[in-house]
Amino acid sequence: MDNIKYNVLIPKIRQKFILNTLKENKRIDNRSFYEYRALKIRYGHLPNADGSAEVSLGNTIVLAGVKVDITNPFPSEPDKGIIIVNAEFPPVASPDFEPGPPDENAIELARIVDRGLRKPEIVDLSSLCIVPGQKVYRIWIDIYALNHDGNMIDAAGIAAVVALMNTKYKKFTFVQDKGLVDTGEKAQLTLKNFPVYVTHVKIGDHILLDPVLEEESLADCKITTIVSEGNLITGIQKSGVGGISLDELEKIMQNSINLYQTIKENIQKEVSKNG
Amino acid sequence: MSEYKRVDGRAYDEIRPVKAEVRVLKNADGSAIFELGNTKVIAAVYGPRELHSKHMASSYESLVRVRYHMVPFSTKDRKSQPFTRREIEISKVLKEALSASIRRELFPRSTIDIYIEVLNADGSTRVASLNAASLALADAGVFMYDLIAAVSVGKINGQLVVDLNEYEDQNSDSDIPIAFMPSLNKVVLLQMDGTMSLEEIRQALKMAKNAADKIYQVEKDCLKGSLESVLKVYGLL
Amino acid sequence: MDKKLYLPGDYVTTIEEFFAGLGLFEENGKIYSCTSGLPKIDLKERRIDIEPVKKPKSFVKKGDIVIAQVKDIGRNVVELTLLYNETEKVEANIAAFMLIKRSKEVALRSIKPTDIVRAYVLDSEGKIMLSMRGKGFGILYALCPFCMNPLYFNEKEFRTLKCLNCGFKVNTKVSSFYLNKYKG
Repeated sequence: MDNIKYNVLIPKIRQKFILNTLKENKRIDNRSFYEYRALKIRYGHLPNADGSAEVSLGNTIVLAGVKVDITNPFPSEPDKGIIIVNAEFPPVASPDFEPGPPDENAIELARIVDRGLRKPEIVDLSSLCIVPGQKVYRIWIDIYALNHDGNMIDAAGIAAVVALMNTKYKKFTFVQDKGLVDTGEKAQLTLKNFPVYVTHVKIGDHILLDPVLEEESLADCKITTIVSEGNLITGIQKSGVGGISLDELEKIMQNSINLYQTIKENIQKEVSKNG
Repeated sequence: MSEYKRVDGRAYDEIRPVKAEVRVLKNADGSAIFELGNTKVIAAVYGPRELHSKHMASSYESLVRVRYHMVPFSTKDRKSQPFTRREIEISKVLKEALSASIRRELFPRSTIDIYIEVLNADGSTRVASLNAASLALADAGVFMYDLIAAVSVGKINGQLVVDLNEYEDQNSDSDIPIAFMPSLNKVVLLQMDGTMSLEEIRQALKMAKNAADKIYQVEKDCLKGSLESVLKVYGLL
Repeated sequence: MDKKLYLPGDYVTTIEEFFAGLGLFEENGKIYSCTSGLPKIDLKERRIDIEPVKKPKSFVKKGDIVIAQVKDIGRNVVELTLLYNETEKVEANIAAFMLIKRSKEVALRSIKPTDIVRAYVLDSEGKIMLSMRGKGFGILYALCPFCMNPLYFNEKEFRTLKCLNCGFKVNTKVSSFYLNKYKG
């Protein structure tokens, strides 16, 4: 088991400063408690990937790439395509990251992103079937952290969704005697919903949205809520060492739902700007 | 909303029969078996003990390491992979939940190792693991804020149910494993998979709290029984 | 409150009534138990402790007598591993430290890695600090640095350990409970 702490060790005096700033209802980067950092999205800039997106949330940069290939379906769901989410925290992203296979933090991130995409069927998996029981499309979503400055989950979530939105894959058809034939066309992946990942942290009695790394490593716990169209919650994950009361949880979930439209519009605005 | 009847005939807010036993392994400093119906989990605690790779040690608090593992014959099909991504993620969230309950500042420079083996999986394994591990910690005498009582709730055919079994787990619209420290009113583990409205989550958490209180009582009775027998031997009680 | 078995998380009393001692913690003005055991109440000091039925491994508090093995020696500090807590009768396996007032060269002759010592706990908050001052405290068992045979202690020869095989002699702080003794 890997137990390397990604938490930057903040000197005691810095901790005190951050806590005192919070007491005055301010944050170290002068944001309000429920304010996102500046969002920048670039997508489709990696031609070899079937879909790609680079999202920066303040200083946090996350890259997501999509590759589509063909494989056999799972026996339990013979007429459905497959989605696989992988995440890696490579050493480029932070002095605390070490080379090697994905560790527990990267795996957790991948599984949270996966949670927002798989069970709510954001991608119409039935449309990804070529021959039921034999050939289906498999969508690989690979998430790479490029610069870690807190709240990797939200950035990764946006990157994954935007990358899926602009994914174009080679369309194959099944012809008797010949097997799979490339039609030469490219199909566009369509999304049925628009999930937004909203992460709050709890520091003492304060609840903050979109934490920077220092806030994140100081936090008692971190709650990620995945919200979809229609004010539905499609996933929750609590991480971090520390307890939280049910009232605070409810407040966080309510706040995530309230923020959904704003964040979604913000993402769409960014996407249309950088077409 | 179609009427859903539970496969094992339970009421919607009824948990499966719970069985708990501590001090089941002699080598471990603390150990426990926890059963929720057919889900059976064993947990062992070693430590607080010295950490051999010194760079990971903290001079302020003890390190907690958790290994959640399912034995190959615990599932319907043999589980051949030694350590899956699912197990790594669950190990992480269990570690964080258990760390929150331990008074780690009392054992600086040490490590507390918690090993969890799922012997038979019939849904809700991670919450059963958490209950087993918490009992094992108490059995080891580790100073802790509270025992953890964990339970799962889910929605199946529009109906909220507590303590999902394997069938319900696979056919549910959504499920929430959640863990409390009941006397301090704190949530230490929360995950959710699937789709629910906020109102449904609110109700689900309420149901979970009630079910967790029942589990908490079972855990306390189990611990009390084991300790009272020790105290009686020494004539202290 | 008497004779009741408390478990972790059980509400015990309020901070207005008692000071929280061992095995207890405060949260929002209330005192809860963090271990399983029976209460011990000191009405004079208004202090309450929970006496744990089973102490956790590596449990030490100030004043406990412990057995430890030397692991490493620095310029002014000896690093040890606690093996056993004699006072609480619990096994231990945790790092501890002891300050010495000698240069490393002299220290290396008198105390060296693998030596087993009996000491008492000066401080258990943060680092566990030990001391060997006083009768009964000191080296319990040591090997000869030249031939690895056990060293022997003659009660007539104060503070001296001797190797009966090669004749090596060292002047050091020996516990009166030293394991190998010889007469003559």
